[in-house]
Amino acid sequence: MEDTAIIDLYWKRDEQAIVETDLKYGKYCHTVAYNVLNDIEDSRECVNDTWLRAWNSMPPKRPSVLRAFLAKITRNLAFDRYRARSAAKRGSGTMEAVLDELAECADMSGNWDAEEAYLATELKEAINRFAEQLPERECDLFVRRYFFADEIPSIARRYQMTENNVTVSLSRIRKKLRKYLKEGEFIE
Amino acid sequence: MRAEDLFEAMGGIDEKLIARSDRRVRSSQSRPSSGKAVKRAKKRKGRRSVGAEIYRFTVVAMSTAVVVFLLFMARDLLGIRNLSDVRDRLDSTQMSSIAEPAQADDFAAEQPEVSSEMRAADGGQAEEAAESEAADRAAGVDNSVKTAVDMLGELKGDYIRLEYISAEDEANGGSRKVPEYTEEGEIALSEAFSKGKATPAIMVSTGKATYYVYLTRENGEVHRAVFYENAYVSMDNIPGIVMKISQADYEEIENLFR
Repeated sequence: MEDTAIIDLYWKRDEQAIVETDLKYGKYCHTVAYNVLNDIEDSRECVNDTWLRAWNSMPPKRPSVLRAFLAKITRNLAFDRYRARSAAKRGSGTMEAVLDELAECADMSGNWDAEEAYLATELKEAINRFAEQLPERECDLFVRRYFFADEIPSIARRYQMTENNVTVSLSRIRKKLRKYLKEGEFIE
Repeated sequence: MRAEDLFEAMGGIDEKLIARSDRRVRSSQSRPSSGKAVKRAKKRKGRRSVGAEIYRFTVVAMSTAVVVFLLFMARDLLGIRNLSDVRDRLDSTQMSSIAEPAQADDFAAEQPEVSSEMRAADGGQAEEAAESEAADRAAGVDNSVKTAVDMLGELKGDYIRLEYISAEDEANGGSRKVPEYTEEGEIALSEAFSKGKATPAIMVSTGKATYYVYLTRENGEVHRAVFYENAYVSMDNIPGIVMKISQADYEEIENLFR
């Protein structure tokens, strides 16, 4: 079924919308969740939460790209679940590696909590601008690694690059991001 | 700000950007759908695989050729492993050698005359023994007394004389000496020549030349061997190659020439 038809079903409040979404994007959303959570059961629950969130969002929303819209919901729900889970214990896996890499661009000393709400919105916009200004290939790598939390070998296969090449490119992107965040005074 | 905050903020990346990026990913993995496109893709793949096979074959063939060439080079450089090889080489090539008059008289003086004594002692023995004795004498073989040249052991071959001189004496115009035969000397010299490991001279540091050993052949040709302080030995007739000998053998040879 076409994306527009599925969105129409949501707008008509037809529960078939969820069935169709699950058929078309269930596997995809499961992969996105699994990249973050690294747990099949948690990922399945996360995908179900995604359908509920999508049901509550449409209407009033009418996403231009349903696939990306669902990916974004899944990813953010998965990360919330990850944080709740890792409050108890910090595990290992792709997510840990991604966070370790991002720690290079983060500033642990800043008083983030005090201005959290305002800064979070600002930071989201800044990251968006940063991703937009990146060259095409770098933007793809950035999104795959830090949005979808894809593993390095998987990214290398996608873009027919060597793993080493991907790692080096990501390292350069992180340097750029750090510089960009410093200029925006998000970090010291 | 923590890494988690940054990761969360990345969740705000614009959907259009994600979709664009996702499309690019998918387009690079897309497959041709129509029949003609599939045929074209198969043809292209076929051409690519034939090209790849040729390339692979060429690379393997060329690397094999290079390896074989290097092996031959190495064998040529390191092939001379002992004095027998050196002699074979000398026979097969017309290398320059230091020609000196044969010192047959000296050699004759060194050979003690014992056969007459033996004959006197065993006067009543059969003619066979006398004939054998005569044959030995004709061949210049004396089984009872060994001379300096015998210290070459099995490598003696057709050398009839062995002399030595220290590098210092030679520089001062001194004369060569004939060492006295000793069993230890034989072991050391023959070991040095037979078990020495041949190496290109440019690859090692031989140190100063310490002793020269002159080996005279029946036809009057003289070959010079040079012993070096770092336990190496070379033959003048085989330029560019030195043989590493054991330190113990080198010290034994020094004792012999002292």
